[in-house]
Amino acid sequence: MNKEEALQIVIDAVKEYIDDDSTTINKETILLGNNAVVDSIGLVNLIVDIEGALSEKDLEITLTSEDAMSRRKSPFRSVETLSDYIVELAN
Amino acid sequence: MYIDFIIERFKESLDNEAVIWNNSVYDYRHLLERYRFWLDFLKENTASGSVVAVRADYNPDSISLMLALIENGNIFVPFSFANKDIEEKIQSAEVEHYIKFDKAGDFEFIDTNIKASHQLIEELRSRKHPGVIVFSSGSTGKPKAALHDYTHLLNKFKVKRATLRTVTFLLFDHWGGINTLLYILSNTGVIGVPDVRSPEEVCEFIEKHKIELLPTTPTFINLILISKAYHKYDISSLKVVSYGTEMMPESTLKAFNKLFPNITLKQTYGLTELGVMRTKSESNDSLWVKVGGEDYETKVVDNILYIKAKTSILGYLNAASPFDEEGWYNTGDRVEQKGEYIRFLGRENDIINVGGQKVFPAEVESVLMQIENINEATVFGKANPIMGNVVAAKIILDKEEPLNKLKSKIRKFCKDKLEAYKVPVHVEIVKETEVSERFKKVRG
Repeated sequence: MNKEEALQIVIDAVKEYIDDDSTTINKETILLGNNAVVDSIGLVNLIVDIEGALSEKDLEITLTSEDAMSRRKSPFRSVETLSDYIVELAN
Repeated sequence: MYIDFIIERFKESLDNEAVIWNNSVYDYRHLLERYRFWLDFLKENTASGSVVAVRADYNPDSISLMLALIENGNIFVPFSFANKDIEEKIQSAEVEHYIKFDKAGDFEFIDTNIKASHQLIEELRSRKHPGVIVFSSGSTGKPKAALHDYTHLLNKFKVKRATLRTVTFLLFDHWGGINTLLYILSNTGVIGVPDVRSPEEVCEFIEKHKIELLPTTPTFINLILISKAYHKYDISSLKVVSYGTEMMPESTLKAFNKLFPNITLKQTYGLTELGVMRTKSESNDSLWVKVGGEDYETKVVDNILYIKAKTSILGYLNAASPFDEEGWYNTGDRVEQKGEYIRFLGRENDIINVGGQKVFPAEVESVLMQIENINEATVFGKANPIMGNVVAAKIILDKEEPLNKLKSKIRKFCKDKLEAYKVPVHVEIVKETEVSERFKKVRG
């Protein structure tokens, strides 16, 4: 899986989840913290949706591993960091 | 001597219908004959006060036997065909004799070579009272053998009351079922036993035998609604549908009431440890009820319902007493209060803890079931590394629909009806709900 594919999956999932055309979603979109487009339960939903989308592409990946949770910088900060993390796990 | 009043009433009703079983109708003359047969049989083969298990479904013989066991002063342990762990239960209830019916109604009499000597059994024997041991399922751990003094239950039935033609729905080993049965017998009413307990068969049975009372579970009411069996069979003879044993989704209650405004819906509340209490619903489509009656005291502490009952069990044979020093029993049921009325929110054990917030499956199920094309929803908790647990739902659809579409439809619908943490994160489409043999939902 390359970064473009991963970005597409994450962006699609965020768009579908927040279901609001007035918000632009791109790779800079923040997913964690004060300026995030989703709250914590939203993020949980997003992660499950993304895992589902990946599994449709025959990639069984758990995004919320201990590794992800214990990193100094969370991979869930933004669309881009999350996409990078997916690429890292997928390959 | 214990059931003289019941037998007197039988004698006044010899030609009246008593039991509808296996497509035949048996009258009270027949029950009385079988009762006498069983009483002789027990006197010959068992000592008064001995522990006798019976595995059966409701039929004229097992019903008469149950009465004979009371009269002979035995301690009765009912098993149903749904019990998978009878051997273990025979040990924990200290069963001395075992009468094992097959589905055709033939029986075998087995001596277990166990000698019942538990302190509680000895206590009951010293009272010279008949008893019943029922198993409390409990969501965790081993089933607990709860010993009741039968005379408490019998006292309730000494005043004659009206009965309705009733279909037995609960299994032979169910405490609520035993209560219903004794109520009907002591008022010489009619008990109908359907061959198969599917929505279709039960509706057909109701039509054929003009059944007036259906004691059942919310899940079964839902299955009737989904199956639309009421289109095929005329169930207008029904006057009362009573439900209990699990949470009633408000949507089911309202849907049923809309379809059958003339049927009274009655919530019952019973616990193996305490007995079956009288309840009074605020209205036909309301989940607010008053529970209690003269033999019960209730209190609510930290939203949990506690009950003190005159009719409670002597104790468990294989576990510590469930009562506190003052005799209060923690029901484990979370409730809301409104004046004299309470509303059940769910079993404490079913609550899903999402990041410290509590979610009651029944509340979510009730919302999901209002969504177009969703026939049935079962909600449970699923472990999640971030929130501890999140809400998951198994859905049965009316017509096929892609999962993605369903998921976003659920989210949209729930948005202004449920807090975000209550909205299912995991959604799975299934063909049928897992329903136990007792017609309760299996969550998870």
